[in-house]
Amino acid sequence: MNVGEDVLAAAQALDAQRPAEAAARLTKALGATNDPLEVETLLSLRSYASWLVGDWTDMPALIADFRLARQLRVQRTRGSFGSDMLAAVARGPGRLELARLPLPEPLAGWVAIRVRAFGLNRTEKFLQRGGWPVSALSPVAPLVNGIECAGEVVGHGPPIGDAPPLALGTRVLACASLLGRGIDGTHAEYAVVPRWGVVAVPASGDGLSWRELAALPMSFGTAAGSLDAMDCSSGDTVLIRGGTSALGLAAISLAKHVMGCTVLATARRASAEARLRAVGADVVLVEPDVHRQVRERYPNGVDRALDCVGEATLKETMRCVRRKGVMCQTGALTHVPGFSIRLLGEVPSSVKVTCFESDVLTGAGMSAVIERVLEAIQRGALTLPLDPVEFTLEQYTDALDFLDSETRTGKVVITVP
Amino acid sequence: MTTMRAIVLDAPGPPDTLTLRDVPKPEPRQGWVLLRVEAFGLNRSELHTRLGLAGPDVTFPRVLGIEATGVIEAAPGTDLPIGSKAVAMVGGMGRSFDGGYAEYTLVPARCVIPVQTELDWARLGALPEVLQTAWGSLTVGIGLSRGETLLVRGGTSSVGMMAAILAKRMGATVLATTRQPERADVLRAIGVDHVLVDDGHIAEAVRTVAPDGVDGALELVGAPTLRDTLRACRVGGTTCFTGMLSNKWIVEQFYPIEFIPTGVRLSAYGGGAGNLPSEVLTDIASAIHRGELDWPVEVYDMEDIARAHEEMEHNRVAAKQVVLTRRVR
Repeated sequence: MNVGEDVLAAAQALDAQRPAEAAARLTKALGATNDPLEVETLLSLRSYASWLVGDWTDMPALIADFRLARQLRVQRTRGSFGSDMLAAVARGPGRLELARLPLPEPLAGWVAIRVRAFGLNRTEKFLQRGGWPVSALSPVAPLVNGIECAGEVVGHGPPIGDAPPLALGTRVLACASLLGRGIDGTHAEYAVVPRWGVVAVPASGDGLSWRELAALPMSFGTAAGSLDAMDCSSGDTVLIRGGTSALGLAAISLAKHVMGCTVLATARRASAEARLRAVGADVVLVEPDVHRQVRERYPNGVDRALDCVGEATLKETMRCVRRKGVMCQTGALTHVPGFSIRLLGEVPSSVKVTCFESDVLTGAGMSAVIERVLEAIQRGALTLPLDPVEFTLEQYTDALDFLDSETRTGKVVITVP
Repeated sequence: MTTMRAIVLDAPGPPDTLTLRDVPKPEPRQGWVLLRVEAFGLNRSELHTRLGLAGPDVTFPRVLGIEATGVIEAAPGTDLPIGSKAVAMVGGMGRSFDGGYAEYTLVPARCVIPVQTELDWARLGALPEVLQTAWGSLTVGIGLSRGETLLVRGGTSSVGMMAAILAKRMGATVLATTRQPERADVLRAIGVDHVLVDDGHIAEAVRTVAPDGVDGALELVGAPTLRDTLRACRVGGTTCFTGMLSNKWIVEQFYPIEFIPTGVRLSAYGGGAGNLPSEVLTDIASAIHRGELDWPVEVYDMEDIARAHEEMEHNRVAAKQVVLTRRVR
């Protein structure tokens, strides 16, 4: 890697949570090279920086450039691929297939991972249906699915900066912005992931299977990020709207067993009550009329509310929160076309509304969450909310269908033999 | 039957739809306060009502006015002192029941705050709703603390100026925006630390002053600038939506996860008299009376109401507009 001090400074700025500075540095460096590998690396960092800044206006162009650079490089080096791999590839709306692809090569600062297991997410459902709702970052087919995985380190791209590389064979968890959306993801036998999205499994995770490890990154990272975004703390009463989703289940168990909150959780079916209580819900409320049910028990409202359902429930969830309380909107199980909000009248005075976008998860942030979850598992307080039905990579489309099944009771994980 | 002069709106329309006429003087009522009105401030809320933009709680014909200032004439069933100066505001005033654009107004006791001050009626009358809105936004909507940084989007509005004044008195660093560079001096004069010229995108300029974003932001322009204001806030900071100089308060195509940056909080403020401690009102009124604070007002007679509304509609007045019920000329 020879684009010099701009890349190094950008990497340091990203580590120090100064994405605007990183974006400026990378834009400068992009003007100074034509090397496809360098361009590709710079663009991947640049889109990540834009994402962190929250400015998505240039994202589609960045990703288009990125994919073009990758195609150029792959054409140039195609002969060097010794082997291929099985991968879940989205080829367009409704067109999802298992296909054999060349092994991916790690970019500078990226890590190559032999994938052992991965969790399924709503992202893949949206892709299967034909796109991310509304977002500036609609995926470009063909694309390897997948935004998270657990596996072993099998290689590195050229290093950027001073961070020591992870030893080959290290058990890692991975999730990062852009994976499985703008760029090829993790639902394959091998994946390449930016170093900032990779975290080594700590010793406290030695006893966990690949399946269990794979249930951790997105669900618990997102749940912890959301609860932290609301400053949830011990003694708070927290409403989890959409308790049976993988995110909901993780949030219930974290809020209850790690943070020491009192947890109310909602479900659409009364049959889910036992499951929600088992992961940590103190009270289970069955839809609809959640606002009335909450106010019957807590006339002033709850301290915090996490809405995993989306636009269909957002306005009602706001009204469940007490004066000066906070709610967080995370995930979007529902999308209401033309959804609008009347800021005066529909947002209750003195309730604060925030959001958590899982794309801001990085290795550093994930590390702390995973330590907390593993600690709770070790002391026997927390059981991972895995669905008992097991799938392998060959059963990918069955597993995707199962995500919507009424019999699903936990996080759906696919193992890669 | 005793009558009084009042400004009545029979239906939404242009400024001259507001008609000054004699109507019955309200009778005292248990739990309600009869206020002899000396002055009433004009508010954009009344402009919205006249333009037909108000919600379904507004019915016609209606004496407009969401605030009034004067002397308590009767207050049966309450412990409010007869003869005391007092202000009254919102809680349905001028919307679901007759409001302050009149010589007398009858309002629920919860709308009333007594005040002890020697400040003249015009400047006192220009204070209640502005002060309640600014104070409530900072304390309830944002929860601003001493030493924090506040951004006021729409800095030269009455609420914006008052919020900046209050925030400085709370020990905050204040950034305020104006679309007109020539108004920067007005903002600096009231203590604003950083004046930003608003071209619709200020988040980056804010971050040159506060690199992580501001702790609190007060959105007074409206829905069109809200997303940019949210982006000027730090993670864990709060943007409070309070006003809508733009007359727009609906976000179309609202996709929360893209609209609200991760960890930034959005609140809205629309409060009442209960959010304004009497001491704060007295403190600010006294500071203006002593000359510590400059509080410019534009004074009108009741006969001038159509002209006053027209000026408000076209943003022609840089001061809080206030009407005196007894002739000023």
